Amino acid sequence: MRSDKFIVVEGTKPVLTLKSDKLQAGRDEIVPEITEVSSNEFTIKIKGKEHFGEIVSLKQNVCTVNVNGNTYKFSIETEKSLKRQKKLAKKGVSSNVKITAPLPGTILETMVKEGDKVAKGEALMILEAMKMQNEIVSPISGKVSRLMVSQSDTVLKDQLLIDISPK
Amino acid sequence: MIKSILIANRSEISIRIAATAKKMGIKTYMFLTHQEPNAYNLGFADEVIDVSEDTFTNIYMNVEKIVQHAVNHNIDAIHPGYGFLSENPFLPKECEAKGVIFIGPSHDHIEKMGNKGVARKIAVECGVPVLEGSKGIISSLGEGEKIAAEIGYPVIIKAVAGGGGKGMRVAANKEDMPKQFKAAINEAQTIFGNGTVFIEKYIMKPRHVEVQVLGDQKGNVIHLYERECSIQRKHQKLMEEAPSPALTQELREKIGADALKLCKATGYYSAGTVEFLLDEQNNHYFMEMNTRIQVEHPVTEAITGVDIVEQQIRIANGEALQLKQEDIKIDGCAFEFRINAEDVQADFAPSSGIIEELDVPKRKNLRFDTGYVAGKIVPACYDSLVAKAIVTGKTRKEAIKNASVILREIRTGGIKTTIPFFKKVLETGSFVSGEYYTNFIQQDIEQLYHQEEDEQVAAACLALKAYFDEIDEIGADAAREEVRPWVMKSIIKG
Repeated sequence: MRSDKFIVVEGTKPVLTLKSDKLQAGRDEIVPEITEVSSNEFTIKIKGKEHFGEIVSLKQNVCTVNVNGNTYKFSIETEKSLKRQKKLAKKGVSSNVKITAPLPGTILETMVKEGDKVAKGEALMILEAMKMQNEIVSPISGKVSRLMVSQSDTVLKDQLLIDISPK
Repeated sequence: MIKSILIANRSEISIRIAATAKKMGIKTYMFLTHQEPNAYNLGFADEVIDVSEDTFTNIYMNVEKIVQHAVNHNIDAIHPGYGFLSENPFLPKECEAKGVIFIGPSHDHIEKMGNKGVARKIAVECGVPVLEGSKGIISSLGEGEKIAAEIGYPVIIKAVAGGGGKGMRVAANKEDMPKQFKAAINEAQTIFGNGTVFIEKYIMKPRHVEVQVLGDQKGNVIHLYERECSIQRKHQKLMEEAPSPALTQELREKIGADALKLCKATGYYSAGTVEFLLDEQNNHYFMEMNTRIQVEHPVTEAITGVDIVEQQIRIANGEALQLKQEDIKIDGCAFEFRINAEDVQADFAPSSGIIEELDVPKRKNLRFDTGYVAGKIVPACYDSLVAKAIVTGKTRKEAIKNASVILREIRTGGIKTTIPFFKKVLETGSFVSGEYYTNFIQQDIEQLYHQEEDEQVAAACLALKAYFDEIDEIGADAAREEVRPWVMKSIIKG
């Protein structure tokens, strides 16, 4: 029996709460049956329906899973940690957005340089991988504070490409 | 007479070709490369040619080396599959020079029909409708802008050497033109090594319908009806069906006849595909011809019962087509789902890596052409196609129903695939009614992937379990090391 209350949050949305060994999704109480069918392959049965999943990563309290082929990233919070997060969010703490390579490949072209102003959705560079040209676009409006790659560089997955500071 | 074939390709298509070769009693050869030393397809070849020591070459792209290996091993013929050198005229040329049979059309056909500019000219000459556009290639932006102004925006800029959706850009207006023009040329230059482009009027809501043709070297040519390929992203096909739900029988015959006109005019032989665009009024326009076997050929095989690879081999042998046009009947409906290693939730970003699981049910309505099994790696240096699920039904409605069951039974792990996208397509109204266009992804669906009921909650349950399992493990380790209980408590509280 775990005495604390745990809340599983996706983004800012609470999906699941656990209190006194009772699981609740919204107002519904749920009793999932989780079976590990083979190494890191699970079936999750809820309301008679079977879902199929795997655990991708768990780092501290952040867990990424794939279920039915879709990816979900949750953080597991207590009431205290959730409160603390809300406080931080209210203060409007924001930091630079670091963009990493979504996959290994080659930088075909960079469209911006350090100091450039960029708008949300603007193309920053083209990464060629798996025979496809992928535009890397800015997720926010801001300024290019650092550009870590240049044309024809080979990059690894998750390699830092560019730093955008918010406006 | 072909007794042995070097399959100059990899993954599912090499296995597909080997299956027919085996049926015909033909010995097959494949390459063992350093990029994929444990490739699944190698188990389907009678002989493997080890080229893994040559780490500087992508063997599939090297004309001289491929043909030389065929000569060295006394192999009768080369099948190029799709992609790579399949539409490179130098391969059949080199084959001819070295006395190896090329399973495909002549280099002259590839040169003419594979060049969109020339093919277009031929189409005009034999009275097959084409879209308004530039007379020939465009050599400067200025020239492009002038022609675009004449025919009116939006226009599409296309690489003459293009294919598979690469080297094509749409310019919405005058302001957009310089950027797109440059992008199209760059892409064409990097991918095809040929930066020449031409311009055509862009149809806003087109359908993509293509006709499968077969011709022998004696001038006989037939078609195996059409495939509908309008579900695309970035001009790349994701899903195909046959027959097309858009065509009336009358239009079907007319498009088929137009496809044959082109083949007859050029004396085309082997398998080929004539691509058309359909506008909203169901006017059809010739787009291009693919002078190879296509990824989506199985849907045609499913509804006509013709083994297209077998026909290619027989034609390369010099045999006359035994099939007559009146023998070709459409039976039922077939879908092909391209199960790509792609992350639909990240806008189809490639997702290479190890396939940890690939479980596929055996169903009579399912043909599963795969290039991988669990434990194999999807390399980042090749395209993202993992497998093709071809699902059939007596009617379109039944095929949709079968597909929706089968797609839920296929289990994958380790990589992300396009399956959640296909589930979404199958429940989208415009698709179900057959009223969809190439803008389907942008227009008709809001979320690219399907979520089952309570899926998010199930995912949260699994995450919570993972979290507690980890804590319990830390707890167990901590207990072993006799850490005092308060340490434990603080870990759990986070």
